[in-house]
Amino acid sequence: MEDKQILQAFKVSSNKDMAFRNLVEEYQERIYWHVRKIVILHDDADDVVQEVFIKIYKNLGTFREASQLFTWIYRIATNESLNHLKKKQRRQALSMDDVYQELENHLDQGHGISGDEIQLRLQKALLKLPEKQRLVFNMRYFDDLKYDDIAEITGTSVGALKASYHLAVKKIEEYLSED
Amino acid sequence: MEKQSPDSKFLHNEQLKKSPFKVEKGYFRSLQENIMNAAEAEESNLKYNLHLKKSPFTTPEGYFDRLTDSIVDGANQKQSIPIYRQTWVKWVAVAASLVLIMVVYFNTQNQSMVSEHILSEVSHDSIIEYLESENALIYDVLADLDDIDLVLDNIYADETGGLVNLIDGNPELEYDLEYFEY
Repeated sequence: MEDKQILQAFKVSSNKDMAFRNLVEEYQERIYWHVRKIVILHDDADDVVQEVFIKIYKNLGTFREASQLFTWIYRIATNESLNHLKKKQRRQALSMDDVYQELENHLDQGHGISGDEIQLRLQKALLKLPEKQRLVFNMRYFDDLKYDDIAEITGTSVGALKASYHLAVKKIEEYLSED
Repeated sequence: MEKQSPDSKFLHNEQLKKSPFKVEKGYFRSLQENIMNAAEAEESNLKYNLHLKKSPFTTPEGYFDRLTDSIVDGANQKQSIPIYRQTWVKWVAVAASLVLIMVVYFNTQNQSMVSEHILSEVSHDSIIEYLESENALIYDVLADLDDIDLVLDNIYADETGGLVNLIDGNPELEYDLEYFEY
């Protein structure tokens, strides 16, 4: 089922649940991996993904189609993921640096992680980047999204995104080339 | 006076200056994109490293098979009307409140009448002695609390914790990106 069909079906109350199920089946994996790369822990990603789709269910009726459905969904997922990290920081009375250090420690412990050393080093390098650079790198490098789409998701200009990506790549390469 | 070359008059024809070549619409936009991508590839060893592109994260076995049902069930539960919003609950709450107000009102009236009646039979000295002993008791309780600071800290933590919970319950308050505008 295509996005347009999903949106049309969702407007008819008798088809609403079926349309939502189709939407979940279409997007759940992509959204899970997008969220997982931000929050790192599987249990946290699972919670965030549930919240993302509940928000979609509640607000899809008011979606104005000024953007593509998938960029709107990515935008919600990005927000929920970042908010999840902020909540974590507030609950544990930590700084954001401490939160990222905790996530880095989790990468070392290896639960829910199967990558080799170089892949883990890349993830650690990402945790050292500023939030926006990390987001742009994830979406461009891992998800192969176009700059135009990332611009819609993050509400940033394409030029700024290219600069962010360029900086992220430079920092990561520096980190990876260290001993 | 400089001598003009024989073809200069011919070449000064503005029509000739126009390019006879055409490109597809949007070509320069995609060209810029391609140049940027090429530049990225040039400057980055990461770009085409397929090994690095693989996710190092795993999920529990069969996780995605169960995920759809779990999300759809979760959304349906959240969508069901909370009990405090159901009409019959509202009416019961209003009735219960009225009964409670009436009970408290009549009880207070009775009690003040009874209290006045009892107190009139107790001597002033006895009342003063009683109040002094009550104060002494409260003072003793507070004096025994070595960790009064801890108690106050806990109260503070409870109150500020409530505020944090309030913000947690309304995540929209802190959104950086307003996606509902879309």
